[in-house]
Amino acid sequence: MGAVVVNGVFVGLIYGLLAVGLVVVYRVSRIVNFAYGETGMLCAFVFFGIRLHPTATRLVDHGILVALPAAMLLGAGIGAAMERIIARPLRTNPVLNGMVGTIATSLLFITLGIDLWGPDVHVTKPLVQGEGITLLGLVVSPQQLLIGACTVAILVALGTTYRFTSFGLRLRATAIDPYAASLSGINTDATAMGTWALAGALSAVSAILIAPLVAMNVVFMTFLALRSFAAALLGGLTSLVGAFCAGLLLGVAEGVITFKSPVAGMTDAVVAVGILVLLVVRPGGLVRASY
Amino acid sequence: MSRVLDIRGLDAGYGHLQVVRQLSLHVDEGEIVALLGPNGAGKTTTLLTVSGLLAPLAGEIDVLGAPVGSRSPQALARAGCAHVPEGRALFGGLTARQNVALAAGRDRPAATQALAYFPDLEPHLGRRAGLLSGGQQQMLALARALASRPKLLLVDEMSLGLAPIIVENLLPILRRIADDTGCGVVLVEQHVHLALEVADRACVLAHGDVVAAGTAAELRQQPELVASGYLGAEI
Repeated sequence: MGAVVVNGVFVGLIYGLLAVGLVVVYRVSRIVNFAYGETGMLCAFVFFGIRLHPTATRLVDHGILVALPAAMLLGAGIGAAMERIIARPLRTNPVLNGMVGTIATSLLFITLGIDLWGPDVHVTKPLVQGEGITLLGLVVSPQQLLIGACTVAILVALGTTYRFTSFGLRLRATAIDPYAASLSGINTDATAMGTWALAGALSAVSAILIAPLVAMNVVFMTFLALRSFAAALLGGLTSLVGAFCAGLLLGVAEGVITFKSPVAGMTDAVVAVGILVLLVVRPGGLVRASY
Repeated sequence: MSRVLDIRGLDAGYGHLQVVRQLSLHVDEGEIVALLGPNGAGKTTTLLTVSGLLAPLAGEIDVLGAPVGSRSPQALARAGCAHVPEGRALFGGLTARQNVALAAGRDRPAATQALAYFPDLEPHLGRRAGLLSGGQQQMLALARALASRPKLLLVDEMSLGLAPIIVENLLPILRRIADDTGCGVVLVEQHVHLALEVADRACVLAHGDVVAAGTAAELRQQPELVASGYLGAEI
C-alpha cells in the first residue's frame, strides 16, 4: 500500500504541474487551454527526437542540454503563438469561443503528431539512470526522484516570480483586473503572451518528465491533461497552490482506488463521479480565488 | 506653460450612440480644469476617450503634444497620462504598497514622493487595497496615479461613495499636486462648489454639449450658469 501511495504521489506531481500551467493561463486570459497537453506532447517528441536522433550508422544523442532548451523553446513559442492567434483576438468575445479555439488547436496538434510520428508508441530514453533509493522501506526510482526535484524547483521558481518580482506583480495585477492594469501602464498584451509562453514551457517540461514512465504516443498527454483539467477545476482555476494540491491528491486517490478496486476501469468511474460530486457541492472549486 | 491636453471638436460615444458633441477643451501644465455636469452629460465618456479606452467618433485629441490616434491606454499611461477612473480600479487583492509599486516600476522615489501626499495611508500600506475604507482607497488611487509621474492626470468622480468631508480634504491635495509637480488635471466632480474652489477653469456639459465654460472664479460668481447645466435647474 505504501508503494501505491508513493507512486500516486509522483503521478500526482505531474498532474499538479500540468494543473498549475492551466491555472497560470486561465488567470491571465480566462481561457482553459485544452491544447495544453498536446503542446507538451509535441515538445516531448521533439525532445526525444533530438536525444535519439538516428543517422545512417547510429543513434546520435545531442544530450539534455541541447534537447531540453529546444523543447522548452518550442513549448514557449507555441504558447505565445496561441495567445496571439487565439486568446488576444477573441478577448472581447465570450470565453467559450477561445476555449473552442484551443480544442481545435489540440486536434490540430494530434493530427500533426500522427502525420510526423505516426500513431504508435515511441521509445524514450530515461532522463536519469541508477538504482534509486529506499525511503522508509519503499523504493523510489531515479526518474521519480527527478520528477520530485524538478517539481519543487519549478514551484519555488514560480512562487518566487509571482511573489517577489516586478514581472510577477504585473502578472498578478493583470490577472486581477486587466482594465486597471492597462490604466497603470502595464503592457497587458505582453504580459499575457509571456504567461502563455511560460505555461507552454512548463507543459514541455511536464511531458518530458512523465514520458519515460508511460507509453509515449501522440495522445499520451491528452489523457494526463484530462486529469489536470479536473485538478485545476477542483483548485478553483485561479489558485496555483489549490490546483497543485488537487493534482497531487488526484494522483494518490487514483493509485489507491486502482489498488483496491476489484474491477478494471473502476478508477476512472470513481474519480469522475467524485469530481462531479465535488463540483456540484463546490462549483467554485475547493479553494477560493487567490492572487 | 506648455499644453498637456488639447481637445478639438471631439465627438465621443459608444458605437452609434453619440454622447459628447463638438467638445473643445485644453489643459495647460499645472492647471486644474473641472469638467462638470449632471449624470449622463458625457464627462466620463470624455475621460475614457482621452485615455484611449474609447476611440473618438470625430475630432482630435492631443495628449502631451502628440495625437492620441490609435495609441493604447497602456501606451498613453506610459507616456504620462494617468487616469483615476470611476470606481478607482484598484487591485483589491494586492497590498496598498504593491498597488503604488506597480505604477512606479523601477522609479522607487516616485512611489515615495506620491505617498508623501497621503500620510494617512502610511499605516495601511501593508493591507490589501480591497480592505481599505473608501477614503483610503481614493487616496491610494491618487497615489498610484501619481507614482507614474504623470504630466496629465484624469480624475473621475473622486467623491463617489465618499463623505463630503473626505472630498474637502482630498481636493486641496490635488491642487498641491498640480502646483508642485506641474501636472495638468482634468477633474470630473459632482461637488460643484468644492471643485470650483480648487480648479483654475471649468467646463459644464449637459447632454453632451458644452453649456458653460470659463475660469473657476467667473463660474463661482455666476452660479446660474452652472446650475443651468444641471437638468435646466434655475437659481
